[in-house]
Amino acid sequence: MLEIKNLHVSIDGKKILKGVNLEVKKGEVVALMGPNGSGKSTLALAMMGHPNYKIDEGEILFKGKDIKGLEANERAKLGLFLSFQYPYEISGVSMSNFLRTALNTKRDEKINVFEFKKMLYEKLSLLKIPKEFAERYLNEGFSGGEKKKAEILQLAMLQPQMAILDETDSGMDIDALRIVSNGINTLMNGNLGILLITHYQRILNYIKPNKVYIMVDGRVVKSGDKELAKELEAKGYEGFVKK
Amino acid sequence: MLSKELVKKFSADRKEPEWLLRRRLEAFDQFKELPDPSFRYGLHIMLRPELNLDNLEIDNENVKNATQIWGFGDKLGKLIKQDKFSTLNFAFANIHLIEAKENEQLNIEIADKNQFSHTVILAKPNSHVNIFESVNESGNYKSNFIEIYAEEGSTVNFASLQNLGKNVNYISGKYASISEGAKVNWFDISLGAKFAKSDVVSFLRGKNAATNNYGLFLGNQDQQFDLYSAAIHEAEDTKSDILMKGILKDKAKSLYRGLVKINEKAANSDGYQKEEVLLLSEEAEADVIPNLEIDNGNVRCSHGASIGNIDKEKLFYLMSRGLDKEAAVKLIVEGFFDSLLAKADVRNVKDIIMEKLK
Repeated sequence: MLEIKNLHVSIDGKKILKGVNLEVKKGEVVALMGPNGSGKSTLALAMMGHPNYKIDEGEILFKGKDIKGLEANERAKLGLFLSFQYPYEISGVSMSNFLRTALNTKRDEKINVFEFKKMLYEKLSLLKIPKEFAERYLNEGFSGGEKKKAEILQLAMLQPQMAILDETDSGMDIDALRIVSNGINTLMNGNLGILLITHYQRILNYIKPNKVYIMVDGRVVKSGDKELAKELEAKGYEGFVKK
Repeated sequence: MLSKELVKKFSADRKEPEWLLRRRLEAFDQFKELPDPSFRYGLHIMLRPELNLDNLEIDNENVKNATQIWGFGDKLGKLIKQDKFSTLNFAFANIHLIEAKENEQLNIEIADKNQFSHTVILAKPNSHVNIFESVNESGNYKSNFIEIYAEEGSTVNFASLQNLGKNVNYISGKYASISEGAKVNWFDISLGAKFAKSDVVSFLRGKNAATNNYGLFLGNQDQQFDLYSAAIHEAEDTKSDILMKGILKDKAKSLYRGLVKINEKAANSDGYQKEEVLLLSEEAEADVIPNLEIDNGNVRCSHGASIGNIDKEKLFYLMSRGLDKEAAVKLIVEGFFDSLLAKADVRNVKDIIMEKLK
C-alpha cells in the first residue's frame, strides 16, 4: 500500500534523507526506529507533504500512485494520516468543530449532527477520553499525553488507510500508552497500515510489528522482525551506527 | 461652514437652557483653537484620514428636546478628553440620557442615526445595565461619545458594533467612571468605516472597581483604524483586563495603543493587557503600542502584544487532515476571534465577520 523508493530529502539545502527504502502493506505494522536526528520525523513530514521538505530524488508510492507532487490535504483525502510528534495548538477551534470540518472534506454530503455525535462518543469511549475533551480548543493547554491521545482520536474519526505515528508513545504514561495501543489495535481491523516511528521498544509490546526498520543518518541500515527491536533495546544504537 | 450662529441655532431649536448653550459655545471656541489631530504617534505607521472638519455640513435634523439631561449638567462631558473631535461633538451633539435607578435592571438597544451624538449613562447603585449599540447608518462623518457613570455596586455591559459604510469617517470616544464595587465591561467592535477612531477608557475610581475592556476589529480594502483602550486605576483593589484582537486584509491599516495606568493610591490592583493582530495580506499594516505606567509597587500587571501572519505549520497541520488551504485559513481566522466572541454575546457579529472575510 505504501512504498518508499530511494527517497532523498533536503531542508534548506541540507540533505537529511539519503536514499530511504521501505514498504508497508495493508494491515501491517512497520516499526521505524533510530536515534535522534536520524531522519525519522523528516520522513514522516515529507510523506505527508510538508512544504519545507524538498524531495530531491525517489518516489513515495501510495496505493500505487506517486504522491510526491500532491498537497497535504490531497494526500489526506487519498487516505494518508500523520499523527504529529508535536501537534499544534489551534486557538478558538474546538476539537469537535475541527473533526466535523475535517470529516466533511472527505464526504460528498455533510455528516449530520446526530451521526457525528454518535461516532465521536464511540471513539472517545474507545480511547477512554472524557466527553468534555471534545469541546476544548484543539490541543490548547493539553498535556503532552493528551495531545497524543487527541491525535489518535483524530485517526479514529478520520479512518485513513495508512497512518504514520510519529513518536505517539512519547509523553504518555504507561496507562495512557496501554489504552491508546488497545485503541489502535481495534482500529486496525486488518486493514489499516501503520508506520510506527519510535525510540523505544516499549510500545511494541502492545502493538506488534510485522517488520522493524532501523534508520541511522538518513538511511535504513537494518531491517528484521520484532526480535530486532529487542536486540536494539539490549545493544543500543551504537552497534548499528557503523555497519 | 461652521459658525457660532450655527451652534446657537442648533441649541435654540432644541429649546436648551442657557448654561448648555454657553457650554456648547465654549466647546466651539476650543474647537477653533485646538490644533488639527496629527495621527502620528512616533511610529513608522501613520494614518492619513481625509478629514475636513471645518467644512462639515452640520445635520440639524432629529430635533428633540432632551430635557432629562438638564439635571446632569455637572456630569455632562466631564470624562471626555478635550480635543478637536470631542469639542466639535460637544458643540453639535444630540444628547441622550439613560438612567438606571437603584437595583433596576435595564436592557437597551441604541441605533442612533445622528451625525453627532453624546450619550450619558447613569447607573445608580446596584443597578444592572446591558446596552447594545449598533452604528451602521450615517452620512460621511459620524461622531459618537459615550459617558458611563457606574455607581456603587452597579454593572454596565456596553457592546458596540460599528459597521458603517466605506465612505464614512467615524470618531468615537467611550469613557466610564467606575465607583466602588462597580463593573463596566466594554466590547467595542470596529468593522466598517473608511477611517475609524475609537477610544475606550475606563477610570477605576472606587475600591474593588473592575473593568473588562475588550475590542475587536476587522479591516479590508483601504480601511484605517486608530484604536485606543485604557484602564486608569485610581483606587485600591481595582482590576482591569484589556484585550484587543484584529485581523487586516488587503491594504488595511491599524494603529492600536493600549494603556494600563496605576496611580500611587491604587495598591493591590491587577492590570492586564493583550493585543493580537493577524495579517492576511502582504500589504496590510499594523502597529501595536502597549503601555504600562505604574506608580505603585504592590500591583500585578502584564502585557503582551503580537502581530503576525498565519503560522504555516498550523496551516500544514490542518491541511494534513484534509482541509484545503482556504478552509484551513478560515478555521484559524474563525478561531482567532472565537475566544473573544465567547466572552460577550453579541448577536450576528460572527455572521457579519465571516461574510466580510470571504
